[in-house]
Amino acid sequence: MKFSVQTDNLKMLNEATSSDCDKVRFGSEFCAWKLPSLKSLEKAYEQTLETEKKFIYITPRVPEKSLKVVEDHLKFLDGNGANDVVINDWGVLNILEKHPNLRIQIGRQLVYMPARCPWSQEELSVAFSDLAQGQEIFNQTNLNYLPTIQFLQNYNIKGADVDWIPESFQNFNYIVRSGLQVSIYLNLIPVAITRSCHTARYLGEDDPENCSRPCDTKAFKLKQKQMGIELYLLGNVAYRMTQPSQTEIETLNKIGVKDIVISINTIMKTGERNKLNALIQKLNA
Amino acid sequence: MSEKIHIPKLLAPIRSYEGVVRVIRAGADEVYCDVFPEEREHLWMHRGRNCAIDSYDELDRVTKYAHSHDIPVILTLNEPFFTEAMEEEMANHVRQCLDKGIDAILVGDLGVLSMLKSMQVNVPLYASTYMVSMNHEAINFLEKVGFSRAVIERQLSTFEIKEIVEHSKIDVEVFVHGGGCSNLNGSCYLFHMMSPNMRRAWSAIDGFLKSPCKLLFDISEVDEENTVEDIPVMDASLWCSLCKLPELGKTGVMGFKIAGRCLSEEYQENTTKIYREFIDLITQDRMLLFNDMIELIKKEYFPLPPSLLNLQEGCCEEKRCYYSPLFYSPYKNPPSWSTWTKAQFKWAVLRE
Repeated sequence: MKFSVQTDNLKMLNEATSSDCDKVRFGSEFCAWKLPSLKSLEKAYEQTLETEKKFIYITPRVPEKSLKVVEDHLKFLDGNGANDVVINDWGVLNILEKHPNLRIQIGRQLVYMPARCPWSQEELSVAFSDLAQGQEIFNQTNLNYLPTIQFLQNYNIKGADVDWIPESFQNFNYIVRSGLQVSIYLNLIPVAITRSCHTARYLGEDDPENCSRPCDTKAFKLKQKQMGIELYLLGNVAYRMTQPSQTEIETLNKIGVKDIVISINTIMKTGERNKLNALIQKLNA
Repeated sequence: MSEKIHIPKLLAPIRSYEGVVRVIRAGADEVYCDVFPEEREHLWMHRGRNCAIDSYDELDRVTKYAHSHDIPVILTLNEPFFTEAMEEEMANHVRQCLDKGIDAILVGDLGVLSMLKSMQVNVPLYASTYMVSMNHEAINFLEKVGFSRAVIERQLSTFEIKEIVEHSKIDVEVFVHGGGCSNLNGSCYLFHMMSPNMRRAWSAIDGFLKSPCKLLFDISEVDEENTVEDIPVMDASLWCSLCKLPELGKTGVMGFKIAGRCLSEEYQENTTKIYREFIDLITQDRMLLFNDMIELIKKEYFPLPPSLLNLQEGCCEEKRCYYSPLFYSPYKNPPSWSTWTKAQFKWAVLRE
């Protein structure tokens, strides 16, 4: 099993590069206002390579204004060899046609997994006339259709990001067999993503351009009493949480998923190398 | 007017034959609908049967009526999810709808697009908001893969919309009224499943909009004890853009789309009628009357389902305008006296 550590923050990069991980994912997965500057990207790239870890650049959904920033980042990476890029926006894929050397992986926002839904079985049963058959489809992804995978491969896409949802694991096997590398995120499953940031609004931030980035240090627990669910709010994303088990790691290994992504964040408190190492050690045991 | 305003088409939602008759009389230029007959089994995650035409025979009547008025009918297939297990049923469904004369298909997934291309369907394909297009490169990608129109993301500014339209190779459509999502459609898994628990959760929500992203949450900072109770932190709401129509017209979009496939035919008709009237005032360059009418309509009855609230109380007081500043948070503002009273004593208002 290979381990990637992901951060959107240059201050945290040191913890990632000095941990026992194999790869470092740098960049913002969900928020365009947290796109790094070109200078930060260059610094992160150099620092990662110095520690002989693989560097992966990750991008969010990109509004018009930020296209140029991302374009400059891609030019830089292309100029430095065959680097890896994770994309979450079809517009970025369009730009990447100019950079055939870069290896493209689609991120979690381009891989649709209904099973990310936080509702319980009781709620879901309302939607399916045949619960068993419905559940089977529900646990699949939009990549469980060969023409979709072939379509993506025609655009030079080599891999896809998914979430740690054990009920969906068997369906990841189909993606692997069809020729895409699958990377799986640990713990936090995004259930609702917005551009109109829920955290910023709640904390009274009123200008995205001058956001004080409360999500670097603060996260919130959201409890919905009637539905009996608990979510976590970090920046512009609401998550539900899962905890991995050893059996699940073995299953992933068997079906060919060999890349686990650990995000540095304030919910899982993964911001120190010791904690990252302990986690990697536990998952590797 | 100093700047030329392009006049977009008005797209209305329907879910029945009655609906198509009413919205066409009200001035729709195009209509869009889903079809959900008894025999169609496949998963629904966002909307149910009451949001769709319920048989292919009914669709046949709808297309015949629409075509007799030169109005195109767009079929929505816009779930952002499609797998091998759904292929056969979906292909049959598309064939049936094509047989009934639909004029275009709205698609939310690249797998559905691949299937339609392999079926060699001979109608234009439009990209839905589920494709989450928020830049011109995304629109140009959609053009490259076979779409001739795209509905862009709602969480944009009019400035961004203008930039996107200027650099895009295909037609761009925007939502102008209704809807309520506060998350990106293509990245939201808070499905609208009407279970008993969901009913209980919705009953705790004040106001007319009932939706998972309007649910009340108890919030606490991670590792902190203090909890703030019952906050609609995702802040979903109904949205309006009557005042913004001239500004949106200047962006060059080709379509103004009204949301509301799940709502009553009365709502579909009335909303279409009001937007038609205001678009026509812009077309005729009668902006003084336009502004006077805006002030008038704010205070009059406007079909904000399913309540009896008017536009002023439903949208204007909370500044629920489409394409507003992204971090605006009206849920922190106290409601007006009249809004609060109506919300608390809804039973009395509804009984009148």
